[in-house]
Amino acid sequence: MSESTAAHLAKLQDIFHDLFDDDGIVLTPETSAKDVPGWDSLKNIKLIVRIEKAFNVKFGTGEVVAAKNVGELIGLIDKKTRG
Amino acid sequence: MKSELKESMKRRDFGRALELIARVRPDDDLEYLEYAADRLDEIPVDQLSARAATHKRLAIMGAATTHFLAPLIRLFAFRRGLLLDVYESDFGLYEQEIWSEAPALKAFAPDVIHFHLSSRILTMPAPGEDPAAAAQAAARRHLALYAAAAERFGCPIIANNFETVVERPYASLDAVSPASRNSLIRAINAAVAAGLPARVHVHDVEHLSAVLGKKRWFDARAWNESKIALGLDCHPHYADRLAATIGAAFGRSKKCLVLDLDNTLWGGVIGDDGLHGIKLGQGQPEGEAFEQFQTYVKALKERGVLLAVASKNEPENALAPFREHRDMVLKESDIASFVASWEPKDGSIRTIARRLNIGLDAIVFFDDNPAERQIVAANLPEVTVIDVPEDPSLYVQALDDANLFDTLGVTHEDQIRGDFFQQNLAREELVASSGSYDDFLRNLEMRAVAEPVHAGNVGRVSQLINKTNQFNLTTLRMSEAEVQALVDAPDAYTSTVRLDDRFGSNGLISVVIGRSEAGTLTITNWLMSCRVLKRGVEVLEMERLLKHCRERGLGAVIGRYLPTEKNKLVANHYADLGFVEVAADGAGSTWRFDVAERNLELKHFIGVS
Repeated sequence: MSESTAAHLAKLQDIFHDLFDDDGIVLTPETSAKDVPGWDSLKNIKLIVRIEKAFNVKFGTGEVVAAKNVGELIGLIDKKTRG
Repeated sequence: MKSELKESMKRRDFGRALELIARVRPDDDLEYLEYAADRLDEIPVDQLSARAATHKRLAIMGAATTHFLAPLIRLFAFRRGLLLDVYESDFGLYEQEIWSEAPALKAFAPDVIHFHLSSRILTMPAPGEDPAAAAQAAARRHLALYAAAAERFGCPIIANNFETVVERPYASLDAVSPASRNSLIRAINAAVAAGLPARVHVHDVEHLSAVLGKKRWFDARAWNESKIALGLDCHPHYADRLAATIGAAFGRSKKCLVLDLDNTLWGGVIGDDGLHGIKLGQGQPEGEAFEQFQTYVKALKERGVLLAVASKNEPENALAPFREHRDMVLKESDIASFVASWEPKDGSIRTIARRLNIGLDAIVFFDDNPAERQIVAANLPEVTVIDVPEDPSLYVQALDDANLFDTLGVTHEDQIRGDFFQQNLAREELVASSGSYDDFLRNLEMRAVAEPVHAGNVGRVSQLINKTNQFNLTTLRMSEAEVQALVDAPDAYTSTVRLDDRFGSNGLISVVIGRSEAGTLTITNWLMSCRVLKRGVEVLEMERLLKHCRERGLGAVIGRYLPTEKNKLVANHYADLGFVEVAADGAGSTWRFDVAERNLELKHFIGVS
């Protein structure tokens, strides 16, 4: 795992803790929606807004929905922050 | 805010958590509001009901996604003392579930239905189709849906109108060409507003979206990805306004605005600056701001909000501008209760509540002085205290943003309510100068218009049926449609009384409804506004009842008394009128008056026309 990926993962994990009100959530690049109880479409909408705010990025329509797991989500964030 | 709420939830200190939750504002951080809304699911219901006594079921019929919206509506309703159970229709099935009377919706038995619609769902007329006809057709389709919902589910309906949009393919012609999308939207809104069925009300998102800004209102990505019809950060404002309207449907709106005077209605201090020293009216920037505020407040009064004054002043100083300043928009006669004294304002507000016979929780307090607001908030937590900005130019917005006086309809009685309380002072003086109570009643020179329910008074009659708690024998509520249905029913007896006296009009204040069957008239509703207690109106109603029975050959009148928390006042109503108790059960008692054998032994002093 690269340094920036690890940093993004940690930041993302904080967002998850806050959003799901559960400090026990541990994210890995393989984590997907089925692994986190309550990660439904509504939570996904809130997640997108929080990620955009925390990382100062703006996703395109359909981009986040296409990401299959946390690893791909971080890849997307990586691309946006470098871009 | 969030960390404090989080801490209280961890400690399971739900009392503190609810205190924080009850303070939310639509402008608060969205993440905080989402968090607060979700906490309502984790707090035991008995603790929620202790703060929000009115418990109702709201069905949201969504033409767009409602999952983000529903918890926020619940949150802002809670802030207004309304605990909501929420049902959400399946996505996009808002019409089908009504027309098919979906079992899940039927089982939920909504107390109110909200249609969460957006102009994004409207289809444009086909090329060559007449835009005006298309608008009429769309309006008819929605009106039919709303009427069906109100009738089939027997509850009030609050439906969005359609918001005009940012994009203008017709450019400047957008405003004038009937073929433009926005012209179509405006035409549909106008046709719906003109044809609203009984119990159907508009949630004005066309206005709200303009207030917040249309670019902010529509988030194309959220619509395309999730069919969310408005920007996420607009949701709290939507929820708060809707909650105010739902609150109005269940009697949660505020009734009275208590105003300070110095630096609230005019600039400066009347006691120091004098009549010509205060700032009010055209020509001075501050004076114009105060005049605008008075104009707004006057409009509130015109549509039924009671105005009161609580001022620390000598009474003659406080009254002088009302009587003599030519730029005062508010007149002495606009103020239902005027308290000028050096007492603390919480005491003055208590006096006002007592005089107007309203609860402290129906009062809103507006005072420029933070120290006075602090005292009132601390000593009278039931009173809503407006966070008044320093600049008088911002007063109107501060009061308007609070959405505290929402109403679903304005009747003639709403408009004259303030006058009535004014006249009451004169009536009280008459009591003091009359020798006996009969003398007082005679001196009042009361005149009544007594007539059945008809198209012209259905609105007021259903309002009275649905809000009268004290002088109400059965507390049987009826929709406007149900009242309307009585008008031509051959076996129905209906009677209403409008009462005037030498001091003014009390409006329509008494309703009696019954049904005749097999020679007996059974009273289903008997209610009266408490503003005319002990005036003999119930004797007049009884006289009318007996006359009706004798004309129709009905042998007996049967009445029921169903006790509630609030109607102890009428426990002896039927006994006082000469009825005999014939049965009693867990729900209440049944009373009978034999028309042939008994006569009415009470008299009244009301002239009838």
